[in-house]
Amino acid sequence: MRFITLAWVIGQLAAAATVRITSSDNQEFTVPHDIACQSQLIKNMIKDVGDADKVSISLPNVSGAILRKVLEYATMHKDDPPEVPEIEPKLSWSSNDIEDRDKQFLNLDQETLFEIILAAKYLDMKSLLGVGTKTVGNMIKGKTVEEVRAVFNIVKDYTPEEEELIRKEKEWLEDHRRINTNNNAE
Amino acid sequence: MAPAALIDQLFPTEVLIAVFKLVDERDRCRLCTVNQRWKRVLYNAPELWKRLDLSNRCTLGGDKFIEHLDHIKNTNNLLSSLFSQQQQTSSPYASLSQQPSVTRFSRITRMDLSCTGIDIDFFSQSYVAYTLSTSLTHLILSGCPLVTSGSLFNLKSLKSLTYLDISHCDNVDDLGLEVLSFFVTWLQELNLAYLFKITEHGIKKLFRMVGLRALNLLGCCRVKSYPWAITNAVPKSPLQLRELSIGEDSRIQTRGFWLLWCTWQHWDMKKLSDICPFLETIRLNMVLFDLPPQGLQILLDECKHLKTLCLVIERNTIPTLCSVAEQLRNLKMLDLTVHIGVQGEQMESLLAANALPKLKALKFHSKHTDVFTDDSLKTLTTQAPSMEYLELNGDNLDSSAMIPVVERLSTTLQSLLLHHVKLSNNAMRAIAKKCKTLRDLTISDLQVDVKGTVPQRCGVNGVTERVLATTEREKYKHGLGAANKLKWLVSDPSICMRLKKIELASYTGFSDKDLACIPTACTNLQWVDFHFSFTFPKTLVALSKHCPNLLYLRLFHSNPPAFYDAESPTPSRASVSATSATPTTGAPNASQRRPSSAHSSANRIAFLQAAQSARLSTSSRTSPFMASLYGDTSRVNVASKRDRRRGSGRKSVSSDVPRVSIAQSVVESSKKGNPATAKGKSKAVYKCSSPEGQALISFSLGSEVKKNASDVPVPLFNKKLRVLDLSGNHGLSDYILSSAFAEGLTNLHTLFLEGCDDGLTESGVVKFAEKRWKTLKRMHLRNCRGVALNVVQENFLSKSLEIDVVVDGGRVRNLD
Repeated sequence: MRFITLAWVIGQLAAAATVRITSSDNQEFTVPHDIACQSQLIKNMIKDVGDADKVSISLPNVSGAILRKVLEYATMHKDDPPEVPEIEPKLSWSSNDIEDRDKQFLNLDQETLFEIILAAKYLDMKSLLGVGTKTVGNMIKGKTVEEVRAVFNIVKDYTPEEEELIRKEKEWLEDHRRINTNNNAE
Repeated sequence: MAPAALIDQLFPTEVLIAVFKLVDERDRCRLCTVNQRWKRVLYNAPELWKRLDLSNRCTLGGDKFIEHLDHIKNTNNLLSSLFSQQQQTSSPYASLSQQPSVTRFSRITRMDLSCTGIDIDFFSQSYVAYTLSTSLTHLILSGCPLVTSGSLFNLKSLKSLTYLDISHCDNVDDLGLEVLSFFVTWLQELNLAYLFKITEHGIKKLFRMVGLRALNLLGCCRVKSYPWAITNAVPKSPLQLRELSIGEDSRIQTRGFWLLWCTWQHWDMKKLSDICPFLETIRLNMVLFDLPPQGLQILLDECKHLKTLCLVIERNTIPTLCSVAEQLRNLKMLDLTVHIGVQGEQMESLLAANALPKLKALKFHSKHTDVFTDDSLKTLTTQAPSMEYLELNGDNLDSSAMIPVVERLSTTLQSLLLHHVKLSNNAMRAIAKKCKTLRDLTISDLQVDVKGTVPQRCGVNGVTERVLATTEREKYKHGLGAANKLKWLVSDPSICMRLKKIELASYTGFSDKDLACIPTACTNLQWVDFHFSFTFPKTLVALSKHCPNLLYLRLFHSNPPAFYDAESPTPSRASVSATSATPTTGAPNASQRRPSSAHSSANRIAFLQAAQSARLSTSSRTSPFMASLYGDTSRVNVASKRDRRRGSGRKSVSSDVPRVSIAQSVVESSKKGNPATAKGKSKAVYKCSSPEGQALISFSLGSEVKKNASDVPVPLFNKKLRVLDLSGNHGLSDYILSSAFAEGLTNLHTLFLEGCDDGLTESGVVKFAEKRWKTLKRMHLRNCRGVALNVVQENFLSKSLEIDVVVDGGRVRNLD
């Protein structure tokens, strides 16, 4: 009886334990412990601080809006099973298996998406980083050079002669040799 | 200067590399040209360039003149430029080549150069050798025509090479193997499949390579005897061989080629197990030999590490298999091909002995070998739950026998071949929904379920009973019709995306409209083989619109054989040539749409009837060309009738002349009179009045398809099609062949035509060959009575255009 009571109390404490996170623009977010610990960085910081109760962390590299989105993702995925780390991402289908809810979540303008990816990298959240990079990968996949430039607003910084030279080197990528990524499964 | 793009501003290099890792190699190469920063990032990240794939593997055997004619696509040049180290300081583009691009390949592990014109001198060059010698482990040179025995010497600089694939390189012979054994002694895995010149003497030399662990000798038809049997001396120490594949690759046994069997002499199982005691995998695909009763026992006893076994079993082998059942159970993988003569009881004895738990593939030599009943099939799938390849003959199977099979094998089955199996709609639906990994599907002699029952009120009490559906209309009404059956097959979207190869054949009960639902749904199809008793206009159009990856297409259109009962709606015609089925639509101008009749060409009669109906219908264009056509074609009818009666159309040159000129005038006048061939348009539009012909035209020229709603429509020509096989009368005529096919099928390297009697003459064939000679490798014509190539034309085709032409089984030879 006492054993159960103790465990119950610890559980309650853990659930009740929250972390206060401050963004670069001084916005404060209070989130439960387990959601915050999806970020390895925060998890390590808490461990360093020692006291698990009412820890306060400040993140000078992440703005408030982005932090809000990141925490939203963490909340959405708080019940996910722990991930098996991928040594080498599979080429063929990997970019297609983004969950629908993640697709919805990341259906944002480029700037926000990129900032989220950077934040995920900084906060060391592998799943969010994976999903984010896959989304960007999908934006690139299968597109010609002009299309890629159009999507990302990249300015062509080659002179026409240089362009021609490089194009000659890449002639082998003409459409008739291009195989759909579906068929390239190896 | 314009501000840098957002992605460049925000993303550090490592994040960009993480994104690039998710994109496939070809896209990565393209991305090098986006801007300078991306190029720098890509060039400096050797971990992105671990694999280099320049192969033409989607070409089904290699394109013709891959690179001789086209300097830019030449693999040698390309590789030289990719690996170039020299800084071009003299050129004005010095700033561009600051970074030698060879450093990005410093960690390359695998290079695939199959079916390219690579000259392996490339690997001897110092900078290449320097870069590749420490990292390259896998090299694939399958099907490269310039790989010769002597040139294999150049591979000696690749010191880390463990896997070499030189299959299908026809010029390699025993000398090449000797060269390898002297100079590239560190190889571990060697693939020598389908090298027709090597013999057992060459293979014996290979055993100088102490580290050789895997050897693939499929299809080496000159290796007639067991390599070690030719020397009586036993080698000093046992070989390290772990994997041995002998025989024929059963996947290459396509229709039209008789199954090649390997018969070996001096087979000595004891000697094999003495010499190679460490064997883990032995594949004896299609190898037919008298397995001595203890042979299999010896093999399983002596080779203690044996994990994978592929065998041919026949009547006499089965008792042996039953006796070694326990050892078979301890294997990891078993693959059996059942020869003719095995009976159902023998199969049941195998099942009773529980010899088959590790069965991964079950193939049959002949599709008429019928060994399974419902119960034995169920037992098989219970005992062998990890089957990947299953071939069945279903004479004794019930229509719902497949349902428990696919349920059991749902996560493993990849290829399913069903011959003469009755499939109920539920079975079709089960196949579609349950098979999560199915990629190839073959159903020959697909039948409409003859035992379908429908509810029907009968009797005074109004009791609803289920009775056999008797009329077609009843069947259709209750969803038992043919249309539904095919629809059930493609009802699940995931199987439609996964299916790459499909073969369907049936004599009765289906129509073109039903069949067209398959290409519409399965957009990843690469290999299509349809054998039905109707022509395929709607299917062709569906294929051209929805299947951009199609590589192989075979359409067979024939009469149902005489013994089939008249349940089919197809009326049979008493005519010599293959004829069409009922018209696909019940349009009032049905007579106009019949593509052929016994006595005249398809196209011409179509024009004739078009002219007739043009005169009769209200919206007709009585343009002058139609009238002249009518007049001309009547003359043609007579001429061709006379030819038929004469019997041999081949040698009579005089009869060719009016036919050719008529054909030409038909072509010209149709072009003149056709309002759609406008001068202003860049793309020519060809028209043909028969729906079959029109379907062929639209198939070859493709249609425009939009990828997304916002994108610019992309013309979807059938550029990838490599093999086209048309049997029976599909409405193909000279006009279509020389115009639409020549323009649209730009990568076709093999054309098989059989029975295209009407409308096809040698002029169309020659014109097509002239236009497409750069890609066309071979053309086989059978029973095309209108085609009579004279000697000059034959010479032209085979010598000047270098096309392999076979007419009625006889190869057209050069004069010298």
